Amino acid sequence: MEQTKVTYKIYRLTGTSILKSEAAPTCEPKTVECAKEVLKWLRGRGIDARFVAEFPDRFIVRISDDGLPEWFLKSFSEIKPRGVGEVVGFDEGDLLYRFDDMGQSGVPYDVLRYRPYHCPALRRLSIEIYYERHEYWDALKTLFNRHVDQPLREFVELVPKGLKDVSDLEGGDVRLALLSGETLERRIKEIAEMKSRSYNGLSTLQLVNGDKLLGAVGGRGEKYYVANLLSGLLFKAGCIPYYVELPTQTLSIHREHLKLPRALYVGVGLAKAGEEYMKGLAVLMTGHGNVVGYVDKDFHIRGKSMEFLEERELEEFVNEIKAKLESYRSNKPELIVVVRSRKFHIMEWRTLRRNFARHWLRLSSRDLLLMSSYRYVGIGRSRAVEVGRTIVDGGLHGVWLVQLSKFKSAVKVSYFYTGNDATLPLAAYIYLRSLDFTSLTQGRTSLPPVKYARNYLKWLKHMS
Amino acid sequence: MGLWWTRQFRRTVMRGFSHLLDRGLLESCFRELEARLRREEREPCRLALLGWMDFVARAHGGELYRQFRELLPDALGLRRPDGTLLISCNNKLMCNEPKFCLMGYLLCRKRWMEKELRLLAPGTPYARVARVLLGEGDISAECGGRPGSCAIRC
Repeated sequence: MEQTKVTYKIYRLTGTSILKSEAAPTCEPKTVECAKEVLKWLRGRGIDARFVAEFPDRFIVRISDDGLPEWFLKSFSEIKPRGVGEVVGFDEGDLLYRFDDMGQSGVPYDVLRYRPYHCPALRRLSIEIYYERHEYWDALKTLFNRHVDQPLREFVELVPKGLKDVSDLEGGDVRLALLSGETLERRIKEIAEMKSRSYNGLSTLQLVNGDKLLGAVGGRGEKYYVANLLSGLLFKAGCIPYYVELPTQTLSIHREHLKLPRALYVGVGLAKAGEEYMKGLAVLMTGHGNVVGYVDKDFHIRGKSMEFLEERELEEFVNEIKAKLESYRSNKPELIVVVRSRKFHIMEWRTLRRNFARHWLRLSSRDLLLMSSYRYVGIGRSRAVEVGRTIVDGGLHGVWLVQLSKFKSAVKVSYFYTGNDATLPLAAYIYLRSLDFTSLTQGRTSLPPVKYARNYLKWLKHMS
Repeated sequence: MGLWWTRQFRRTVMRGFSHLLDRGLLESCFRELEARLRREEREPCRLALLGWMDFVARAHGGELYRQFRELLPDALGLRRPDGTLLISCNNKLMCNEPKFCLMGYLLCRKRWMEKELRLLAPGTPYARVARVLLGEGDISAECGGRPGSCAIRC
C-alpha cells in the first residue's frame, strides 16, 4: 500500500498540567469558549491546531518535522486512527460490483464489460447523441468502439443526430449533447432552463464539452472517461449500472450495516435564492442507487445560518418528503438516511426525529440517521478515527474522520443516529459513495443524493 | 413424520418422474454438479449449482444428503475458522442483501426467506438464481446450463 505522510493527528485535552503554566487558559475544558482559548494559547506557542466543534476538547493538530513538545504530550492524549477495515469490518475494496450476465468485479469500471444489473429496457437501449460538430461524434464513436465490450455494445445503441440549435435538446428521454466550450458558455441560460425542465431528481440531459472530449481521445485516461460517461448515461436512462454488494463478514460483525441496501437516502442541498430565502432540495434515492423523486422548498434565511432552524418550515419540508415516501412505502426502508454536506444542528435532529418518528420510527426496526460529510485534513490513507461520541435525546451523536485509500485528505462524518452501532454512519459513507453512478473516480469524496441535489441547484443559479 | 415428509418432498419435487429416482443417476448428477462447483467462481452461478445439488441430494437422501449438508457452509464461505457459522437463521436483516438471502435459504429453508426471494426485482441475476432455488427455474446458460447427467425436470 502506498504510504503517505500523516500531516494531522487527533488529540484529546486530558490533563490540567497545561494549566500549570501561568499564561495558560483556566477554563472548563469541554466548552467551545475554552477550546478557543486553548487554541489561541497553542498557536502562540507555534502549534498549528483546530478544535472539533461537536467535541471541543478534541483538537486536530498539524504535525511538523520537529514533532510536538513534551509539555503538549503531557496535557493531550492522542486518539489513534486505525485501518478502515478494522474499524468498519470492511473497506471500499471489499465491496463487490455485480452486473448482469453474472458479471462481477471489484471495480465499477467493469461497467464497460457487462450489461447493467437492472434496466427497464430489456433488449436494447437507444440514446440520442446530439453533436454540434461532426468530429465530436467521431471521437465519441471511436472511444465507444475502443473500450466498450461487445455484449454492452449490442445493448446500448448510440443514435447520432446533428444539432441545428440548442433548442433541439428539449425533450423527455435521456440524451447526450456534445457541445463546444464556447456554446456551453454563451447559451448557458437556455441550457440551464432545459436542464432544470428535464429534472426529476436527475436531469435526463447529459452535457459534454466536445472540445474536452477531443482532448480525451488518445489520452491515458480515455478508458475511465468512457466508463464514467457510459455509467452516467445508463443511470439517467433508468438503469442500475451495477449492484453494490456488501462483503460476507457483514453477516457476523456489524449486523446493522445490513440495513444499508434497504435504506432510503435523502440528499439535501441548499442554495441561496435571493436576499431573504434559500432553496432546499431533497433528492430521494434507494439503497440500490436509483433516484425515486425529489422535493424542493424555499426557506427563510436567519442571519448567516444555512441550517433549518425555523421549526415550522422544517416540518413542512419533512411532510413533503414523507408524502413522497408514501409512494415508495411498499419497499419498506429499514433506515432513513438524511445526508447533506453541512453538519446538522441539535435542534434539527430533534425536529427531524420527532417528525419522522410520528410516521416511521414507531415501527420497531426503523432507524433514522442524519449525516453530513465534507473534506477535512489528512490523517493517512486507509485510516479512520472516531473523534468523539456521545448520547443525545433518542440516539447517538458522533464524529468520524475517514480517509479512504485514494483520498488526498480525510472526510469528516458528523452524525446523529437512533440505532446502536456507531460504525454505521461510516459504513453508510463508504456504501453510499459507491452508489454514485455519475462518477466512478476512486478519489471522489461527495455522496450521490447530495451531489444530485447540488448539481440541480447549480443550474438554477445560472437561470437567475 | 420424517419418512412421510421425505416421500412427499420427492413426489413434489420430482413431479412424478419416479423413473428418474435412480440413485445411481442422481449420484452421478450430483458429482458432476460438484465438479462444476469447484471450477465456478461467479457467486450467482455457484448458488444456482448448489440449489440443484440440494434438490438432487434431497431426492437421493441418505449419505449423499449428509455429505451435501456437510459441504454446504464451506461452499458458501460461511464457516468461521472455529467451525461455527457466520449466518444465523433468525437474522431477518440477512434478506436485505439478495446474496445472503439465497445463502440463508439454502442453509435454513425458512418460509420468510422464501417470501423475500420472491420479491427480488425480476430480471436481475439474483432473481434468476432465486427461481432455481425455489424449484421454478433451471441453471441458466450463462452459468453453463444443467449438466447432461442431470436430466431431471423440475
